[in-house]
Amino acid sequence: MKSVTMLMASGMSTNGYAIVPIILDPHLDLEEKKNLHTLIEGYQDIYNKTTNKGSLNHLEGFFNSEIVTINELNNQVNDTQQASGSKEKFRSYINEANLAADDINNYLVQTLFSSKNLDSPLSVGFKGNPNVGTVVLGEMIEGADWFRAFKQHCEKDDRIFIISSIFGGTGASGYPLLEKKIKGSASQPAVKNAVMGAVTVLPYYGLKDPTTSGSDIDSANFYTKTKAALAYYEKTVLSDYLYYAGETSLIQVYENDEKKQDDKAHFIELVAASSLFDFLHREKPETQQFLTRAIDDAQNSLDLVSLGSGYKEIVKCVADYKLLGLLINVLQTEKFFPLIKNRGFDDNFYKDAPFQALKRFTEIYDNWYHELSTNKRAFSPLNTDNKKKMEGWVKTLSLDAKDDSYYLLKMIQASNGNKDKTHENKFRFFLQFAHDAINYYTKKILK
Amino acid sequence: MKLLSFYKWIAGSMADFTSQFKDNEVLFNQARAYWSKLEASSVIVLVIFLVLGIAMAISYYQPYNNSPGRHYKPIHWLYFLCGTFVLTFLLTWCYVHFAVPSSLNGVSMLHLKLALGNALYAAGLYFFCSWIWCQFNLPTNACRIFKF
Repeated sequence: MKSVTMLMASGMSTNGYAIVPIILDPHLDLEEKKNLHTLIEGYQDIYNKTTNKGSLNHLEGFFNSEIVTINELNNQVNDTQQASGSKEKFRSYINEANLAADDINNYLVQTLFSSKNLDSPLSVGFKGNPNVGTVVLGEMIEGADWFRAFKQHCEKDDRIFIISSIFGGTGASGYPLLEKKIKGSASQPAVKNAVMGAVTVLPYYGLKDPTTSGSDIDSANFYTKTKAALAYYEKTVLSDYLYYAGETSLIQVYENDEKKQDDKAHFIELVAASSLFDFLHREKPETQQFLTRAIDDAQNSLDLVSLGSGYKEIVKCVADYKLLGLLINVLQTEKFFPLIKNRGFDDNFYKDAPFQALKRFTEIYDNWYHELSTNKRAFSPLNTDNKKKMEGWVKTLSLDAKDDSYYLLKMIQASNGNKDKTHENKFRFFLQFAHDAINYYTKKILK
Repeated sequence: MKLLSFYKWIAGSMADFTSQFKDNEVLFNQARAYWSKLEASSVIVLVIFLVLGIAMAISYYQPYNNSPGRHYKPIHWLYFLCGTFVLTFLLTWCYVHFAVPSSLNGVSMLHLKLALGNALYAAGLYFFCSWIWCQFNLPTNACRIFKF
């Protein structure tokens, strides 16, 4: 979802759909999950400022699509962030204590679940144990406020897309369960008949030896679990489109710290995110479609050529946003920039809340791209180091803009050519002119 | 209309110029004839400053600021002001030197003074055009530094 948000901020089109993310993670204390909520709030804040809270049409380019949370739709429903997790142990959840020692059901429980499984609190997720997730999630979904709200607000022509990993616990077990619950919503035809897509992320990173960290998760089992889950999916999944994204091997190995899960942004997450945008542009298929996305050349550091032509739009979006970040920094010190007088992009504008929100979002974006470009395998199609020779901003391609002054000039020209008198939203003008300027040069990427 | 009177403040009048030859009738008549010739050519001198003053302002506010390089910064406006001054000075001096030549005493200084006066007029016109451009929102990508 982080990659989805970043791509939306970069200008990736959702084909007119507003995105309503529902994040299912029982892991209550996960920092990454909290950061994601903050990121989405940041995006919404910027989007609302560009549209005067919906009274103006969305922009073309950056932040062009709306994100609405399920609790906003439902006004007061508990967010999944609070509702889905529980401190209760799995042992207690299934009432294992009520089973007699010689009860056959007790033997079944002992066979299916390890002691560690049984002692796991549900608030930390299912830690690579889909056998636990399968038991718990079904009830969690059915009884959750968010699921009721989702069914209530899902309307005709809305679409549903599920993003999950297949090699963990929560996602692997949650996806087929959730899909089953959705398709089984007979009383809500808009839900039952909605065009549905899903992306399932295959193993793309490993974890350090669990015996040294004391973790319950062993990445040596990822492939085994994946194969088992795929065999199950093959016969049971009902999505109109099912996308697969994965790596050829577990190139990157992270710390095995289930409390932090401080994993860096990864190229495969970006690929998985891109499947949502692909899905939103496709018609309902006559038969179920299974899709995946390849790269042209398996380099450790991917650029436009090794990624292949299928990634041009993603590269353009990321290049565009990174250029926006550059303009954000440059313009604050550009004392004679004509739009200071013409459009009011003065010191007060740069100190004002909308611009500061954009700046904060951009700092997160820069960090996200840094992680992507230094991870294994690296998504690194940009060369952002040399501000004096910006024609090489996109590796393997020469842009016509040789330095930042080209973009500044195009911003001025975009402003001079804009006769829109319907609003006086400076922040919207800023993003609009910046995008026009950037797009003038970077549209070459798509050719 | 005697156009050279525009430059009286720097180049002086015909009387000022011919007074140095009052003791020599031949030179005095040559000086009067030269001044008349210069007066006849003065329309070109005037055209030089008008054309350069306006053309340099148009060039600055239009094509120059339509090309990248942060040309909207005031330092670039100053470059054009200096350019207007220097170009007008050189062109005026070349014109009067080659089109209205004379070996009379003081003509070289007269040419220099005329060129300097014309350059100052051109610079003033460049400034005036810039003020018009900024005040009346004529199309440009430059910073409207004279719009207050």
